[in-house]
Amino acid sequence: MSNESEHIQRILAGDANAFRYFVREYQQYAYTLAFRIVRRPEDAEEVVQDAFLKAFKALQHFKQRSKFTTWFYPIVTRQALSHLRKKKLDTVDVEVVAQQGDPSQNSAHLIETDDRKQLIESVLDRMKVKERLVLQLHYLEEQSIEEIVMQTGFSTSNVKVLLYRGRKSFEDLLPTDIYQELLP
Amino acid sequence: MTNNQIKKYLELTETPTPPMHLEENVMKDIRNYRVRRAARMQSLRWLVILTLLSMGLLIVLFFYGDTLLSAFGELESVPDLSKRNLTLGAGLAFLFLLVFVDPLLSMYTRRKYQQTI
Repeated sequence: MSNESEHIQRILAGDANAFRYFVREYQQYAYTLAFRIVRRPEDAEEVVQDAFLKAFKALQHFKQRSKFTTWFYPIVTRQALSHLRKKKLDTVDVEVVAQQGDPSQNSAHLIETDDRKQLIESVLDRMKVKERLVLQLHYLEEQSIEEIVMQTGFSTSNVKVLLYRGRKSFEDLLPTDIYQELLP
Repeated sequence: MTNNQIKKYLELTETPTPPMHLEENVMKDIRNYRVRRAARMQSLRWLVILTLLSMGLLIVLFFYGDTLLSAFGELESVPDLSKRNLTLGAGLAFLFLLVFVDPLLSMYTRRKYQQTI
């Protein structure tokens, strides 16, 4: 019996403390995944807590035919997307960024102040949530299409479309005159 | 833009780190959930028992009310005391149990489970 199965059996037998194993093992990536979607630390924390609680409640339905993460990460993704819908953070973010101004207009200033991170963050804030998520998972976390499908619960064709659109959107939003300047 | 360029841009963003207290918060949520669930189940049990007892009392009064009244002859001297009134009284007592006693039992069981779980 694998370590995961052993812990699941203990939890189902009533030892809730055995769930700590899953929290310790997967909180880092669950938090990263949630943060990539909600973009605010306090919201990411709330999402992860809710996702773990949901997983605990539904653990009896987990058939163990796949890894725990294959079952759990889509829960995190759905929870984060639902959190965004509830709080309408997506709209707020766009409004906030719109108030900050178009990155192409103040890019020179940002580069002068060497604040490259802020520029990229503002570009990501302006992207659609799912496109941003897929783009980051693919290029930053270096995940294949199949891995993204497993983590998000999106269909393969949807991930491909989101990746294509995300890439195009990222290129469009990033001012063309700073392509080379940004790179070290 | 090449894949490598996109990767380099994205690497400029920070990698989030979960807060130290996240694990404890999750475990606290789970503990609270278990307490709530256990208390709810216990409360439900009490409710079922109270309902059955009340229903039993109502049935007894409905079918044997007259016999009971005649058995307690002295009660007959009370005006308006009848099978109908007894049944009504039992019904009101049941409502009283539901409204006042059940929430108190719920509170008691929740406290009890908070100490044990």
